[in-house]
Parts: sequence; structure tokens; C-alpha cells
Amino acid sequence: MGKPFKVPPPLRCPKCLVLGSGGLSIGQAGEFDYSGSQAIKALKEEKIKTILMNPNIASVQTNAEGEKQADVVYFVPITQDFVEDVIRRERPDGILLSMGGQTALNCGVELYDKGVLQRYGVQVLGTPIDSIKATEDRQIFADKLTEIGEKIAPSLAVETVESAVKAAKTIGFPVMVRAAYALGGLGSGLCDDEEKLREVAGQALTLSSQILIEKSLLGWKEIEYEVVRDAADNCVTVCNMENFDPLGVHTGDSVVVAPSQTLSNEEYHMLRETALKVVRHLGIVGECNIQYALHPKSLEYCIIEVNARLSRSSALASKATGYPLAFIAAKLALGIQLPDIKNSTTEQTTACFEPSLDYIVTKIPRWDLDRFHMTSKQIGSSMKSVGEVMAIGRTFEESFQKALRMVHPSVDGFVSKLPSVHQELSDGRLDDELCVPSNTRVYSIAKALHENYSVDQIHDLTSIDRWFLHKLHRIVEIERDVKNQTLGSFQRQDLLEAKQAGFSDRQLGRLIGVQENDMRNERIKQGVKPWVKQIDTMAAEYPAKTNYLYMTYNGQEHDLVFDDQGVMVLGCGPYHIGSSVEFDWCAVSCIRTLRKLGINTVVVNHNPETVSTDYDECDRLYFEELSLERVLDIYQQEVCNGAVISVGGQIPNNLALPLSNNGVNVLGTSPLMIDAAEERSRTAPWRAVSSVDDALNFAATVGYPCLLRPSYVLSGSAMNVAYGPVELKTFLEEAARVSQDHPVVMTKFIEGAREIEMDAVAKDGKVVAHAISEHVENAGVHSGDATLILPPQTISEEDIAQVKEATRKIAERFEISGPFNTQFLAKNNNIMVIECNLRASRSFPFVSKTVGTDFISVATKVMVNYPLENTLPDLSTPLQPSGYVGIKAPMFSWPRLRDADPLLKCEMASTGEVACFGATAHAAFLKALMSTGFRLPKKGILIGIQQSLQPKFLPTANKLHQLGFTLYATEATAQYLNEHNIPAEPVEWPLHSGGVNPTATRLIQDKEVDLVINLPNQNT
Amino acid sequence: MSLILRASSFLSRKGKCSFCGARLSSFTTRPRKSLSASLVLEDGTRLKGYSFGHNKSTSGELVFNTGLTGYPETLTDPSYRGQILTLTLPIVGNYGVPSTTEQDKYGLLKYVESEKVQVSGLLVQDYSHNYSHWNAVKSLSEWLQAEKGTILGKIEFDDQPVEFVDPNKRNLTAEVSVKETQIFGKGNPYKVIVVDCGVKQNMIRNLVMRNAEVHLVPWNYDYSDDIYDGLFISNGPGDPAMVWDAVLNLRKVLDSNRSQPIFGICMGNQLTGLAAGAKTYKLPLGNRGHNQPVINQLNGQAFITSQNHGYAIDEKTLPSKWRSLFINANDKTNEGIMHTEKPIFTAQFHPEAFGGPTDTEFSV
Repeated sequence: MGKPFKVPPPLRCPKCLVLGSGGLSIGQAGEFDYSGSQAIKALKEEKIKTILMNPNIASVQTNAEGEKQADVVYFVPITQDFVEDVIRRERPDGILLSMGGQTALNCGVELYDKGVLQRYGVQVLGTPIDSIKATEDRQIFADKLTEIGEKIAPSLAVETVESAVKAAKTIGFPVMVRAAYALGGLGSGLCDDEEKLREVAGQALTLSSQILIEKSLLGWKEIEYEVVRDAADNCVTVCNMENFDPLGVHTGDSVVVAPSQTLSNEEYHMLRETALKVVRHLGIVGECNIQYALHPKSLEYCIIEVNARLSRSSALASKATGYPLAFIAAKLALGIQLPDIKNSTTEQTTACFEPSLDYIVTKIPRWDLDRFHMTSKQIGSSMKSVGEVMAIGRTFEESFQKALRMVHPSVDGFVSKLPSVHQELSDGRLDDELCVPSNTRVYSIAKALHENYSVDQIHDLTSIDRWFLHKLHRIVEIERDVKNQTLGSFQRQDLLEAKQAGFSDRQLGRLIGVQENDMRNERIKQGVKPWVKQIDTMAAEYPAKTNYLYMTYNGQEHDLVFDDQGVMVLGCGPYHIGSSVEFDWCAVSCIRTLRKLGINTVVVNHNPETVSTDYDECDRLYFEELSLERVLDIYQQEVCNGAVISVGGQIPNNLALPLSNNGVNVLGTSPLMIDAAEERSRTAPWRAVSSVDDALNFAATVGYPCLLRPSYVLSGSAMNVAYGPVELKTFLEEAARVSQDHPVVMTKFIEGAREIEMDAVAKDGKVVAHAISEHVENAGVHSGDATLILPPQTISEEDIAQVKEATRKIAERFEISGPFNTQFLAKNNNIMVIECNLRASRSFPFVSKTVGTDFISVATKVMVNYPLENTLPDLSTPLQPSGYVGIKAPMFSWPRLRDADPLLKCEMASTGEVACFGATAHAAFLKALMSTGFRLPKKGILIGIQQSLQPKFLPTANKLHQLGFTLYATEATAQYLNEHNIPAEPVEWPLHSGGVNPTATRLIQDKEVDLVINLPNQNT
Repeated sequence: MSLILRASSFLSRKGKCSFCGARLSSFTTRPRKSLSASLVLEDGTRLKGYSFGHNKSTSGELVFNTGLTGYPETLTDPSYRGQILTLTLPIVGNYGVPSTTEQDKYGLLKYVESEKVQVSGLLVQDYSHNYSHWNAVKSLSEWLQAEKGTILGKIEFDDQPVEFVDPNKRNLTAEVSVKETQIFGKGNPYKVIVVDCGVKQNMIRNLVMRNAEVHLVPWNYDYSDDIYDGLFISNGPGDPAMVWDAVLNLRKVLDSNRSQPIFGICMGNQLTGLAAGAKTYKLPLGNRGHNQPVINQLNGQAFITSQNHGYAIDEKTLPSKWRSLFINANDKTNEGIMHTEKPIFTAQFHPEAFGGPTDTEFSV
């Protein structure tokens, strides 16, 4: 009759502390804004006073206003000391650790181990700490699994060749040999037999004293399940997912489909039952993710890991199924039982169910590896992607091609042409490109299919399941058929077939040599149009209340009617360098304002990590491409009143003019003006150059260094400073590859200038709200990588007045109605405009929260012509805020990117940002720095300063000495410091070792040094 | 006829049965040589598609299943006898079809639930012409073509008009039941009589694995005077009221003083209800899929079940000494009953497709 289960009494938790994840970095990105936001909604629904700690100012969860937001938000680092401080002040009853990624989880475990949580009587909600530890500690995890007859991939550490052979015989060949503590997989290798093992192990042992013998899982399938369990032991699997790439590629870097496509019933349910068994045994309460390796030719499997928290995969599963995992997990953490929670998408069935999908979802990661100098394009067990997209279709071909376009709007679909400017597919090495997983392998597969590689050949090289490859082969075959067509010869049936396989109008047009528009017109003439379908979690078994939508050519009718005539808001697309959670904040702010004004909203976005794609944020959500074709399809089908394109960053902004030309009512600033501002050559003092000679001549006139940038790009892609003619030529070639349709703009690069940022909103050409911030760094560092101070600290009154005046003129000149951002240089009482974007910028959330006025809300009201309140910070109001300072600091992901050069340039490299506040700029700066992971030094400081800056640095060095730090310095610097009576021990550069002094690397490794101050030469 | 109309109103509401079997092309992955066919509904709706199975017109009750995997098992489930099955999973055929004749150590079919494809037709959205699985021996298309009399991807081929037939007016149970008693797990300590109303192989396997000597008897076999340790009423297709002989046999046992446990699944649940004196009714859409949440009313625990039924017991008509045991968490329909004094339990869902609950429920 079912096991009797002792149901724990309901929790009493009137006040709850939620830990966020901090600044976005690779591996821990926007998905935690989604999870935290949903958790807070769930807590507020239960009338719980909610305290949030998160220095990520660009996130939606750190908003202070609204019923679904936290009652108190602390913009402080997620570290033990700060959390304890907040606990002491707020005295919460419970703490939620599972919504803020690894950062929150680790911090919570540390606080528990130190007895802090116990001391203040704070109860850990959801999965207990012991269960969390069981999933984090490999040994405990393996032991726990053994208790229920399950296993992880066997691995043994050995120190001799003989014990390696013995270990391999225990585990069974083939085995993988890995040298412990070796960088970049040095010394690892696959061994099929003893002979090979002796050879590889022998080599590996020369590199490292210890090697690991692991069971080889090469070519195994990687499968994941998302599981929820309540305190009463009710447990269901919400979604299963299959990786397109076989095991070996981090799941965050894999193409993933949901539900699994190549698993039989037996395999699917075997892994599902195991998931339930494991989750119950570990005692998870809330949500978790379990990853498997499944042998491709048998029922053998191993458990890779269990994540006892919300994760990137759970965000994807949530958006793929319509099941609000984080919301449900938060409710379960409060002790509420699964059958008692409503399925919020149907509003009539229970949340205790397993979603059924009548569509297929494809996730493709976005890498941007070319933005990090010198880093390898190979992908593997450590995640490198910065964002992802999710596409929904009813054939794999449709869903996959959609996703490829979403990741890079310049890509047509499954083609061999690369989206990236810094890379090209190399000829002759196709087999290698297929063998080694990389951020471009999918394009290599397209190339191979075009070169008549068979599915079996590609399978042998990639180990990707043949089912996927057959489907990709079909895309290539359709492409070949289409190439024989002309616009006149296209039969409806063939056109429909291509569209059902996910071909875009532009892609088809390119194949037959016509413009996208002509292709579109022909298609519509033939009556080939997409259908609008609902995601309803139940495969339409019960009527859905949700308006969670996608478009497909594989259908017979629309799932709903179109009589709302709402306003369309275009979201941000995939998170990538330069477009991150801040643009999702802008979109959410816009949508919420519109809804408050009683206007229906139609949102288009395809980024599963966002809050704007949550089921309850808008009236109609299209999980669709941000392309001209699809946005027009939706706009025309919905008969929208207008479209907001200025709150989602550069991807929607680029659509302004094409949409307008096709009859879309673009709300706010005229698209012609947006275009005018983008074509930078039209505003002085820029010059557009179209040839190398042009550029050389311009450089000769103004003198080096010169700044080059292509128009219509975000965050300085291919933007560079050239210090001489050779560099200039190289950079020009690169820029030409980024954007062929638009000219490259050149200007004199001004050294030693201050940079000022103006975020503003104008109405009919008149500024109605503004905020001025100052960059800590001198001009030359990309504004996305710069540290911002609000209000400015070192800019003179006169300069501020000039900036305001210039802003007034810009608003007037471009007749701006909506958000805009302008960057200025200030040097010698001279103010120059260096960039102007007639859209929301990445600093909008920061200035909005610091000044206390939601700029996007103001801009939204402007765009729909709604009266504004008269207390806004227009140009006549004094600088705000007063009494405190806000600092926004960039967050980098260098530790994730081995070999990458962390030197900052005008091309953006940061992956996220944080902001903190303080009475002074220094107090705020220190907190912000600590929020990005910076630890205050305690012992030694290593200094290396280029000659020209040494005099300026002297007072700082003296202060550090007086504070009691041991100073180490590179030889020249040490000599200089010693001459000025500051003791500093000389060290050698690692490459020049052999002398008597210790090398810098050794000091860092031995932890003698815990801070390095390095101001190198321009050319090092 | 009203049954088909309900199904069709569902279809026109959601447009779930767009289907394409094959596409036009000369390439092997996209064979052009497939026949087009139409799905015709009783309300006049006509939807065009392509056949990838055996090209012969058919008719039946249109039902749908929301499971995400398991088409070989579903297609051979005798409960689908006479029905045209629509899968809401959009892409089908991916992993081919495993051996349909291989037997396990109990003499039961290893990978399928009965000897043949039981459905009259299958509707899918996208068929995978190229399958990929280590355990597959043929494609879904090949299997369906070989199984003559089974028609896929359409109801009606252009030159083959066919009448609407309501399979629920036929005794489908008699069509799928064994004709003579069969024994599995011979020599096992507990003798269990399994009344075959359309039993799935996996049910027999679960009993044999738990030390039962299974005597699989025809649906209308009278076992009331036989010696046995336990009685099991299986699942099956169609309307339970059509198999009244089975109800009467069971009623004889219920009215006697026999104390051996009785267990029923799916149709077995409905027959037990009818034998006890309760009534059954047809559900508007039926519950078919692998994701149906069910609550055990004894301890409040919920679990996810596999289901396939179009009829349900009307709980309000249960006589005294009987109570509801399980309830569907979504539509609150009955999912199982029990006797308050005797060891009689039944489940509307299919516990054999779900791990836990079976263990305690019918170890004899």
C-alpha cells in the first residue's frame, strides 16, 4: 500500500534570506537571475518577508519595487563575513542557498561548518547541508551511490606503471590515463590494451608523480534529468535532456535537445527510475539535476554528478517544458507538498506531474572565444560558453536551424560559413576539425556533409549519434535541391518542405540568388506561413492558460486567436560579451511598465536564462528568433500596435530600420535617426574609411595612435587602437570581416583622457531624465570593462556643464524619444563625444537603481506617449545621488579561460558586473572589488611598474610599506624603490629564471604573495 | 459514433494530428515513393498526410498518447486494439524497432507487449526515416509494412473509401485474449490465475519474477471453482461492459467466501468495480500517457503513472465495504479501488510501468 513516510511538520519561516550568485561569469550567469527571481516570487506568494543579498545590480531580482520583489536588497559581496553581518542585522528564520549557483551554495556550507547559521538559529531551507555535501564530495557521493547499488565512473590514482596496469585490469580496458595536476590535459591518453597503457602511463609519470586511471567513457551518450522532490518524499522527473555531443564536452558547452531523442523506452525509464532512487536516497528537498553517461551500445551507465541546486540545466528545462522549476523548488523548500502546488501554466492541474512535450527543443551555446586573446577554441570538460539560446520546433531540423540563427544573427542556418571574425575553417584539416570538439565543430560537420562525407564517416570521427547526423544530412540534401530552383519554379510543396526543415527566407534567397524580401513575398504569395503553437506542459491534454508560444511550419492551425493588438517588445537574445543580464533587466522593466499602463505585451526572446521569458512576465511570449523574418511574422500575425526595439541591446536595435521599412511602427526615436547615429561617419570628428590607403592617409593627418571601429557593432567587436601602420593594416582586415556592409570609422586616439558616461531619456528631443557617471580608468578601456562611479568624483563643474549641453544638443539633433547613452572624453577642459547609441545601454540598471528613478520605465512611458511624473532628474537638476556613491565594477572570467591574456583593451572582455554603495568612493570601490572575487591582501605584494609610471607610484608603494606588507618587485622596480628607501625584495620573471632571486610564479604558487600590481609597458 | 466525434473535436481544437510520413525527394533519406492519404473525421474534417506503413485504408476510434518514448511497447499493447493512435511526441521512429520475436527466460516477448501490432492506425507528426539504436533490427516503417492489416498515417487512401466503425461496439477483449490456458513460471510456489483481457507481457513477467506460477486463462474462463493462491484481472481494450461474462465470473468469487487476494489493473479495475456492483462511464478524452499523477488516498503520497484507458469507475456508485484507493491528481477521476475487509486491490493505471507501488501490493 505504499511505504508509510513520516511527513515532517510544516516549516515556520516568516523571514527568509536568499543568497544570489553575484556578478555573472562563465559557468554562473543569467540563469541565477531567473532562479532567484522566481524563488522570491514564490516566497512573497507565501507572505514571507524576503531579504536578498546580491551585488549584481543589473539583475531583475535586485529590484526594490513591486509585489513580487524582495523586501530588502543588500548589494554586498556573497562572502561569509558579509552574510554573517546581514544575518546579525536581519535575524532571518531561514536561508535559501540553492538559488544562487555554486557561490551561494559554497558560502552557505562554509557558514554552516563554522556554526554561524546554528548560532543565529537560521534554518537551511530545502535540501539539508549533509545532502549538499554528499553531492559535492566525490568520495561521500561514491559511497552513497554504492549503498543503493549505483556507481560513478570508476577512477583510481596510482604512482607506478605496474599499479597502473593493475588498476586498469580492475576497471577494465579501455582506460583513460590522466596526469594529475597537469595543465590542459597534458599527458592524458586513451589506452585500449596493456601495451599502450605501459607506454602512456610511463610518459605521464615523467610529468607528474601521480596519474589517474579512469574508465574510458569516450563516445558515451550524456543524458540529464531534472528532478523535484518534496519533504513528503513525492518525487518526479520534470524533464530529460540529451546532449548532441557525446561525453567529454561540458554540458554547458554542448548542444542539448529535450526531450531525449535516441533513447528507447527501456533506457529512458531505467535512467528515470535511477534518478528517483538516487534523489530519494540523498534526501534532496527541492530541485536537482542528475547527469548520466550511457553506453551507446548497451544498457550500461554511470552517474556523472548530482547538482543539489538550481543550475543552468534547470533553467533550460524550465523554459523547455514550461514547468517553473525555481518557483516550485522554493515552495518545496518551505515544506509545501508537490500535489498541493498548482501547475501555473494550466492553473487547474497539479504541479505533481511530468510534462509531456509535443515539440523538440534545441539549446546551442554562445562562446565568444575569439574575444579572448590567445585562448584555444577547443571545448572540453571545463565550460567556456558565455550564453545560450533555445529554439522550439516540431522537427529536429527546424529546431536546430532556428537555434543556429539565434546564436549568431549573421548565420543563415546549418551552413559551413563561420560566424566569427577571428576564425576560419581551415582546408585540408577537416578530419581533425571533426575529431576534436570545438566551438566551430557544427560548421565543420556542415562542411563535411557538403563534401560528401557519409553519416558513418562523420559518426566515426565525432561519435555523435547517427540519428542526429541523418537529420543534418537531410538539411544538406534539401539545400542541394533548393539550389536547382529559381524564384519562379518553386513549387508550394518544395517550399513548405524547406520551411518545415527550418530554412529561413534569407537562407533560401541566398541559395537561389534573390533578396530576402523577394523570397518572403513569394512564400506568402504561395500561402506558406508559420503556425503559432502553445507550450502547455501537457501536450495539449488539458487546456492551457499560458501564452508561452512558438512558431512552426509543421502544423495545421493556430492554437489561439489574435485580438489583443498588443505592443511588441524585443528582448536581448543570447547573453554574450557586451550584452548580458542588464538588457534583460531593461526588457523586463519595459514590459512591467507597459502592463501597469494596461497595455498588452507581446515579447520576443529566445534566451532561456532570462527573466523576460518567464511564464508570468508578459501577456504573450514568443520563444522565437530575433530576425527580420520572424519578428515580421509575429508582428503581422498579432497585428501589434507598435514595437519597442530599444531596450534589448544591439540585436533588436539593428532591426530598427529594416522593420520600419517593412511597415512596423517602431516606437520611440525614429529608426532613421537611429541609423544616422549608428553610421558614425555622419557625426564629426569621425572619418569613414573604405580602403587601406584612406586609413593610412587619415592616420598621417591626425597622427598615431588611431582608434578603429566598425559601425553597427556592440561592445567594441574588432575595435582596436593602432600605434603604427603595420597594426593599422592588420586591424582593418579584421574589421572588414566583422561588418562588410558598413564602413570602418577611424579617429585619433586620445591618451590620458577621462571618460564620462551619460545615460538619459528624452521626449520629443528634450532630455527628461539623465545620470552622469565617470570611468575610474582613463579612456582606452572599453566602457563595458570600465569601473563606473556615480556621481562623478574628479570631473570639473565646467566639464559637467559641457557634457549636459552636448547631451541636450544630441537629443535635439536626433529628435530622441526614448533611452540613449553617450560617452564623452574629457581632457584639458575639452569635451568630445566618442560614442552615441540611441537605445538603452548596459549602465541603465546601475544608474536607475543608484539614482532611484527607473529610466526604462520613464523611456517606456515616453514611447507610448504616457504623461510623465514631474520629479524626474532632467538636465536642470543637480548631480545625483548625494550622500553616497555607487560603483559598478566589471566581472571577468579569466580563471575559466586558460591561456587567455587578461590585458584590457578597447574590445570588451568582461562577462558580468557588480555594483556596491558606500559613503565614499573608496568604501564603495572596495566592496565592489570584493564582490568580483577580489581578496584583500594579508602578506606580500608583488610590484612591477613600467619606468614612466614609477614616480607616480612611489607614494602608493610607501603607504603599502607602512601598512606592513612585505614588498616584492621586479628587478628594475625593486632597484627604484630601494633607491627611495622603500624596502622591496627583487624577483625574476618566470622566463628569465636561473638567477639567484626567486621567480614571480614561485612566490605566487607558494602563496608568499597575495596581490600583484603590474603596470607593464604598452608593448608587453 | 459520438466517441469519434469527441476525438475529432479534440483534434480540431488543438490540431494535434498533422502528420507526415515521408517527403518528396529522390534521396534515400527522403523517399518520394510514399502514398498520400487523408485522415477523415466524423465531423467532416479532412487532413492530408503521407503513409510510411502498410497502404490500406482503415477506421477506428481516434485516441492520443502523450508518452515521450516507447512506441514499440505502445503499438503492441492490446488495450489499443481497434484504435487509431496519435502520438503527441512529434518525432517518431528514431530508435527503430527491436526484435519482436525474441523471448526472455520466462518465455515472454522481450521487447514488445504482445505478438503483433494492435492498433488499427498510427498518426505521427514527423517520421524518422533513418533510425539509430544498437538494439534495433528494423525500422518502424518496415515493421508496420510487414504487419499486414495495420495501417498508418492515414485513415483513407484516395481510391479506398472506408466506413466509420466504432471499435467499442465490438468485443475487442475476445479478439486479443488467449484461446487456451497458458502457463508461465511453471513450478513457482504461488499459483496465480491471470484473466487475459488483453494482458501485457510485462505484467506476466512481473508476476513470474515474484515467484508466481501464472495460469493465463481466456477472458471468459470460469475460475470460481479452481484452486489458486491469487487472482489477477488484466488490462484490455474497449468498453468493460462488453465483457459481461468476465464480470459474472468475478462476481461469483466476490460473492463466495474465498479469501485469496485479487488484484486488477486497468480493465481489471473496471471489471472489479462492475462485479462489485458499481458503474463505469466513458471519459471525455481518456487518459493515455506516461505522466499521469496519482494520489494514494491511504497515505497522501503522489506518484507518476503510465495510463491508457477511456473508461473509469464512477466512485459514487461503489457499494458498502468498498472504497476508492487511488485518485488522479489532475482530473480527480478514480484510479483504483479496494475492499475494506478482503485483500482486494485494483489500479486503473499500469504499475508494471512504474517501479515502486507493485512491490507490496500483490506479493501473494
